[in-house]
Amino acid sequence: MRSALVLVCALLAAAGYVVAPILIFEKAPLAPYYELLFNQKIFYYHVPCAWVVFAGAFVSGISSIGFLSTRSPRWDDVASAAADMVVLFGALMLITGPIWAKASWGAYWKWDARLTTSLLLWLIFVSYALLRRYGGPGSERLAAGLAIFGMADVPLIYFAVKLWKTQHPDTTVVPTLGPGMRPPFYLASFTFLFFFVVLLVARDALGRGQRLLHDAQDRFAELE
Amino acid sequence: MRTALNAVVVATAVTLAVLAGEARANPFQKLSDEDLAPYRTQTGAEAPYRAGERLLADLEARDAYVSAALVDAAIVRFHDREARRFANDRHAVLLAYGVIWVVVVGFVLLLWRRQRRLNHEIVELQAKIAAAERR
Repeated sequence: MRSALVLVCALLAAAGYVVAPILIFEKAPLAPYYELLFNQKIFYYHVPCAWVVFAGAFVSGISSIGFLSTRSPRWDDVASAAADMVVLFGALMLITGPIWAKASWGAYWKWDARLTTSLLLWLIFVSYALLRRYGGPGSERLAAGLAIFGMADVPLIYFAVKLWKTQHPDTTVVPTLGPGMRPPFYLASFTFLFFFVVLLVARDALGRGQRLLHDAQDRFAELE
Repeated sequence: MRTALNAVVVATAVTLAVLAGEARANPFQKLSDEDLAPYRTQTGAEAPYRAGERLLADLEARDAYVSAALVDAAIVRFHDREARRFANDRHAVLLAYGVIWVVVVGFVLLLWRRQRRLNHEIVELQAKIAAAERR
């Protein structure tokens, strides 16, 4: 069942990555603002990256709650895999955003609330990954707490543009997209989401395999 | 009679065409090379815009309205050129899309390497277990 789901997601993601650029570059009109124009094409991949980061943070945070309440390592495997996704897609979001900012604002970075809280989220999950890698035994509980803290940052990022005065565009951009921009945007978003699921399952299977193998090696060493 | 009328019509049309051509003629065509020489830049002697400034100053002294219109036209042309350049600037978009693919491919390769290492460790453990069973 899981293999079939992954296969379907992989096929949909592959098809999406072929069709989406065609729609983005051939069909979608240029943004009607002088400061955006062709550079707005970054939007079609930058925003889906951010959405996948949010999804990853939620999966990691909820799995961490599951792990802390049940102590089942399966929850921990999923939390760790999702945290990797946050680091990966967060890096893409934080690289593509400044490239676009330089083109439209004239500066790579502004310390406004949306950008700063996004950077904070990414740093939290980088800390999570470092803790899991070098923290030693028992670090998984500390890391779980960190993931929950990271998840709590997601609503803060989303509402930062409403709570504070920011240079980053607010949350009305996506609902007010022109009709020619919606199909490529939603296609790109679902493509990234399917790719996220594929990578998450692959990373989870790898983490689970490593854990089971190390358990088996430990048991074997004890028997020896 | 008809031939004469045709001749008059043709002659009138030709005359009007010549007169219209005269009216549209570029007055700068009448200027000699010596007239334009002060507005040409000697290579390396000065920046080209300096020659343009001299032209504008002389034109302003002759006719302030025409001079101001020329400046306006230059501003519009500049903005138009910059807007076209900005609209077709693919540098940032190519860079952003390129980074996405490089990072994603790097991550997939990392997963693949880790999976290979895991498979290798499983084979090693299986060999150890088989050896232990033989003992």
